[in-house]
Amino acid sequence: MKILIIEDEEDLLDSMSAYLSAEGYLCEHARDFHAAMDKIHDYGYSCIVLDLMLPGGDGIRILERLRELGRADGVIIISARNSIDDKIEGLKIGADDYLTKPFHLSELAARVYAIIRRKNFENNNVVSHNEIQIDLIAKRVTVNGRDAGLTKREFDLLLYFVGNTGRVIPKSAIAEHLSGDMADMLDSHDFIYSHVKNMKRKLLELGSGNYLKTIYGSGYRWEK
Amino acid sequence: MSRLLNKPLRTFIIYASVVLLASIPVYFYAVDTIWLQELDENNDIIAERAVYQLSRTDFRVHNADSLFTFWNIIQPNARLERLEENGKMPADKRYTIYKGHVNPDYKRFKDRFRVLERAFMYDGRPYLLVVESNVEETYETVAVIAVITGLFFLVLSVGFVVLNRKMSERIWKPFRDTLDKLKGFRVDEGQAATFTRSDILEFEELNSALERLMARNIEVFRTQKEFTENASHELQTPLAIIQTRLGMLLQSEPISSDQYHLVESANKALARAVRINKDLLLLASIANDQFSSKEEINMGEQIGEIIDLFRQEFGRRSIRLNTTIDETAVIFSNQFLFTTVIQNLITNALRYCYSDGQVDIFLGENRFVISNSGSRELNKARLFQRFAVLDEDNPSTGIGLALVDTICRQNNWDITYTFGSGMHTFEIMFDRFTSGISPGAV
Repeated sequence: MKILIIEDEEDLLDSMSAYLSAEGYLCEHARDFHAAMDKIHDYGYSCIVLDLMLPGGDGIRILERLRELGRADGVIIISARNSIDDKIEGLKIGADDYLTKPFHLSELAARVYAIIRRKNFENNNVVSHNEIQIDLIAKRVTVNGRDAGLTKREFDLLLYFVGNTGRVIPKSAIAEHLSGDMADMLDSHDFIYSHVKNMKRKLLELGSGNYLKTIYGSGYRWEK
Repeated sequence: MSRLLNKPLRTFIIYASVVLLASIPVYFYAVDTIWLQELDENNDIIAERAVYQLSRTDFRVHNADSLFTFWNIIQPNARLERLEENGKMPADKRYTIYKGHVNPDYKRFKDRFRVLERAFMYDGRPYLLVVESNVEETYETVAVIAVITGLFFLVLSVGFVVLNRKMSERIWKPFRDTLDKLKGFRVDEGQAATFTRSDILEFEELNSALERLMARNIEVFRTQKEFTENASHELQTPLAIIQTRLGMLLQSEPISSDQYHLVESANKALARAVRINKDLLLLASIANDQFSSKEEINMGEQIGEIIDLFRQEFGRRSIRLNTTIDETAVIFSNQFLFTTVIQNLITNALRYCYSDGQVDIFLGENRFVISNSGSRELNKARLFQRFAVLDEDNPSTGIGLALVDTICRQNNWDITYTFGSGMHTFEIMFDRFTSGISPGAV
């Protein structure tokens, strides 16, 4: 699966590319507006990670161009502009998701994962992980065909873990994923523990394998 | 508090009453003196005329004694007496006497008389002519003067009050205009007030001084806002780089437990820096009115979701959570701003509540109240300021409440903080035009 990362900040581009490559994606880069335009004209991508503020032009134009070309590439906007208007405009023009800088790489990976799975399996938005089936549209999880009855938050968590299979996910990233902006408002990240525990219990009860490992007492890793 | 013009008014009235009171004896003394002088003159004229007339009367025709007796009978205000013949003529005497009426039943009070005694020679013998004229009694004069003075005092006082009211309406109108506009002035709206022109020098000076002050404030505020905005924008990218680099560090194999925990504590600190930066940007965005889109929000539902997220945290710290939520309460507002306010207040309560304490959350038709246990009152003066250190033992990003305050002010929500019986309480009265009971709920 090919991913285009459009980002002018070298360090950021490097990290995102390295993280996503390790997930098994093929990453291509564009460091400015024109390079990005050339790339999208020449190739199709499973997902495009798009920074809005680029040398040479507004990232929104790239999004508009994609839609003019009638392309269905998944697009995640990553922007330093934390403006609701930008977000609404971006999503209206056809971005699939919007991530405000700074973000955790695991968050980006989870979103890329979800977008690609939603886009690629047009009539069958179900992701399988061994005996676990995740229906991305109905937001339902079954284990061996039986509904695990996950809450919305637990569903999000599972998708987050599966989207970062094999990677060490720090607790701080999960806390931010769960509570959005509120994670740092609390002194401890302990509140995520019970969410994770509940999700894990529901899956195990239906006979799924124990894929979620605790790392160093506080981080997590979802294993194959 | 009394109005400015009422202060001199009171003084004026007191001064007028003192002057008028003091004038009563003065008037009395003047009137009485004039009276007596006039009566002395009058008595003189009578005496002179009487003596002159008598001197022209032929004593051979009339017996002097019988003439004088007759005189004394018919002249009520003059009397003739024969004097001892010792060769000396006494000088004129003038004095005041009080005596009753001839008819004792006629009057209870004694009348005051001004008397002139004059000796004269008639037919070679000395006589004394005593002329008496009735004078107004002292108490009557005093009473009349007092009544008149009182009347004038009344007229003056009423006049002062009426004039004062009229003057205060007219003269102070431009001042009141200025005051009203000043009250409505908000530096973050970036619009200086324009004052009504006045023909009074002091007001004009005040207005132009205020205009200069406001313009300068707006300018300072604008530059400060721009600085904050630019600074936080510029910080976004380096923060993003640090976060992603830390993320990469965690993936490098093999990683020790120590390394993992180092990265996590860096992540935690970073999250705080990110939050401060986001809040600063958010403050700037709110000031730029970037959250103008509004919708009907079910407050109970929103608050319930936020509480849900923190429920475990309440449990972990054994904090009792009491909620009374009106599920039908709605508000027409910006969803993001509303949840930002509630989130900040709830996390604030949670942060400052000690373990085994209590947090109460109440939502009514247009009222949200949140209380938490606490030991001492927060510094009210600095409560809603950015980076205010409210509690030295418990530092925070210091923007949360400033953000809450900004959002509340922008939406005309009235937020108050009180501390009583060991509970910190924040209360928001929502604008009653935009909140209330959902029409569907009735």
